[in-house]
Amino acid sequence: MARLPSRVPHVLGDTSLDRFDAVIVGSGAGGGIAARVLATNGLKVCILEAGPNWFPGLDDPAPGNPRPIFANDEIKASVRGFFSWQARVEPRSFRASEADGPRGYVGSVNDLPRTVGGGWVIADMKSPRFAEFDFRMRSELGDVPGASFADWPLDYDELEPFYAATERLVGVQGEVGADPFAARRSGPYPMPVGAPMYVSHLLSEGARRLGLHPFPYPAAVNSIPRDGRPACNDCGFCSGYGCPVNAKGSVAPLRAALLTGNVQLRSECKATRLETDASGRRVVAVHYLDPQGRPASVSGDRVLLAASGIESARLCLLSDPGGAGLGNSSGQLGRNLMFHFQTLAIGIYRQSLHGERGKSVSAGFSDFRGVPGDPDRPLGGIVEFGTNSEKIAEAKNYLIDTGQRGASLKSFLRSSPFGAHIAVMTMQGEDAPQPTNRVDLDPDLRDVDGLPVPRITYQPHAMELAASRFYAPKLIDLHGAAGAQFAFVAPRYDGQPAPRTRHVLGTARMGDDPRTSVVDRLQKFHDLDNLWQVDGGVLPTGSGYNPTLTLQALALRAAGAIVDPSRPEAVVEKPV
Amino acid sequence: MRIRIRRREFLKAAGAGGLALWAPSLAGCGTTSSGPGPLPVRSFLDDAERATLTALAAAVVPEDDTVGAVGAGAVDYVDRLLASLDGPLPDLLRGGPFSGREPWPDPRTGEAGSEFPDDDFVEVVVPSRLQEIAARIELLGSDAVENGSINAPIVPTARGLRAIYRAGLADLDRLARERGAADLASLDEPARLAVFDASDGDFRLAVLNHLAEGLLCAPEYGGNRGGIAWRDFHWDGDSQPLGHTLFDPATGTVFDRPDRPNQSLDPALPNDGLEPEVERFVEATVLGLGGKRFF
Repeated sequence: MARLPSRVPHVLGDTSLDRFDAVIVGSGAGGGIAARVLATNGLKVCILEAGPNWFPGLDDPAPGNPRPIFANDEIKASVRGFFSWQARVEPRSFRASEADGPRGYVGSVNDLPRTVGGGWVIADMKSPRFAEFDFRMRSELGDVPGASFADWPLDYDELEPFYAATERLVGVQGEVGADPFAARRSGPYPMPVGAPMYVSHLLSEGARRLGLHPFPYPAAVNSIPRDGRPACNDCGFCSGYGCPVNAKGSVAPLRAALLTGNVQLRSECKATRLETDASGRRVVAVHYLDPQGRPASVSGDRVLLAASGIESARLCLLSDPGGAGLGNSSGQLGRNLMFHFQTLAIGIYRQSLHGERGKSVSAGFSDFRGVPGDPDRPLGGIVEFGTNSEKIAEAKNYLIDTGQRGASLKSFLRSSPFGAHIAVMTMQGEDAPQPTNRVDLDPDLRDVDGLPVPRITYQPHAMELAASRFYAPKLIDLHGAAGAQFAFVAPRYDGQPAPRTRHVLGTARMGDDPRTSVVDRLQKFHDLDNLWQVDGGVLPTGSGYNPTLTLQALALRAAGAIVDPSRPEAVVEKPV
Repeated sequence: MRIRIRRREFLKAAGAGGLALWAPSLAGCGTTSSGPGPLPVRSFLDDAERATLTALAAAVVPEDDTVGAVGAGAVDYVDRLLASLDGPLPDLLRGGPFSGREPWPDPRTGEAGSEFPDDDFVEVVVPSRLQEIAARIELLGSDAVENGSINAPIVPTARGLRAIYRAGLADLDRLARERGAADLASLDEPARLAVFDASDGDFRLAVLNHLAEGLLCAPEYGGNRGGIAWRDFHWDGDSQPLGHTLFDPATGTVFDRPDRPNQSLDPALPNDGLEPEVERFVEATVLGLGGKRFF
């Protein structure tokens, strides 16, 4: 019998605050960690979050908080839009190129969840660092036709202290030295690795037989009790789900920020426009719709965008109706959109792999990340070892995608070829930045609030297509070495016309030259005096590794520089 | 299999408060389901519509030595979904974190304890403004919501699930009558499937999605009665707060549940390959996609 709950409050933190040193748009991976830096250094911060709050007690210092209402519940998380709205409410449009006309598709396009904590809440928290060469891809590759590779305005060594600090603040488990291709580290991981899944053992053994170098995947999930959170107990509902016991580090920095007493978080508040002063160089207000859909605004001395590469670009475009977009004198705003080009190699095994037990991914290898300029080792990406854990999605696969009915359907449900017996390797291939891959506003479509929606123009570059073709047969053979009965590479893009990677990068390229980049080396917009961006949009290139730890390390550094430009590393880990 | 956590690291974490805070953290979570009184179970379909949907469900996912859609309660699942807007708030999203089907770990050993949390899945989650709009479009159609059809005609107006089901179920009986039967339930199962395949595409897609959901959902949504489909199809279902690997606070070790190993082969599960019909399908699919059969 159903019961009515108590409402979770919309406003968290110090509800009495009404003057702010900074307004942050987005409470996800970048916004949360930036808020922690600013708040622990005494700045008053307002965070606007478009999504609801599912973390009762997030701002309560009492032990045991927060007490999230996430669950091992496929209906809630995957079927009925607990984290993402129905595409009819806030659709996006898509086209492969301008030749397709205004659009070729309307619906979901690589959407990130809308929730306090952002997409990091439902991630399985894979947290590798980028390689040293990822910061100098233009120098490594030279001119690649059709692509816009750039060197970053900082190198790995400059970011390394912030990687280390982020790993401590979020809580990352890992094993030093296990990945021979990993970038150098200044210290150990904060936590040892947790329990590997059965499929990790199988695929790791297969990889070793082929001379590859599998390792426990670094992940921002507790392997031991730490920071007031329990050890992960491998419930199995990890990727795509919030953690019921809060073992993930998704909102650890955000909670710390709230506990300073210097932060007010307003959930279900959708930013709609940045208002500038007469000079056009200062943002004086962030306009938004409140939880009831009523117009409201908030002001602060500084504004930090952390809404994702697509939504932050959308907000800048909405802020300059009919114009090029706020902060877009370079013409680069919205361009160089990257998603990662995933290659999925699927193996079917005779034995049950029980993918509903474990962290979704607990091992992988980075041999296929490749070496710049080496034709024998093209630039692919890190490979994850995973399985399938969603039973309803599996049944729909049989009923809808393969058309099974009646007794035949029951054979599939009992045998579970695409469930219990499936292992999936995912290569996170680097997709080359291209100026033609971009976000702009659809000229016709609106969301239910009447706001223009993002239009994504995207097609893969020959570089990632070639890398995928190169490594796909090797992934199939790896399944064979691991004992699979069958293996194949999944057709590209499962239903959506764009990759559904939840890695949304580019659109606000970071660089020293205001003519070719949107934000500077400390992520302040070249064109504005008080506007920063602290999400994945600032990455000049996407690497072939999961990007969240890197975007967080960058956000940490940017926020630290706001507090103390001369020594940002000294202010980013202040205790609450 | 036990994974050894180095004792120094464990003690450091425990000393920082992690261990001390862990048990009370989980223990408190079970108290969130004590909301106001129960909500009545609502229904949208009339008796004739339920009978037609039941006949269809029995043909699409029949009962054999494993549970079918009807036995699992999938028709109830669909009916509750269609009626979900009739209460004081949409009954679409249920609470968490725990269902009460699995116990707390024993705080001394990490192994399964004897205490169970309350069932938080019986709570209805209050949706956000945009989630509620999305639900109304889904159930009632885009014209029932302000700005729901704002992008027509580029994006066609959407019919709601209620209208889709009402028309689709009536259509099944009409198509059955064209075949000389009194209604769909009067046909044998192959004939019911043939009628279903000739019905409206939106209706077919809705039914197939919802039968899968009603077969395998958490039981609190109305289907999968008592978790029967999870058991019949060898799937663990929700496992919190115990989970699959246990943490022994006394020794700092992580170890598998003996009844559900995470890190190794589980001899209690089917480990002898696919049924022949399924294996033939898989082989054709894999080879058609350029894949390999290794043995």
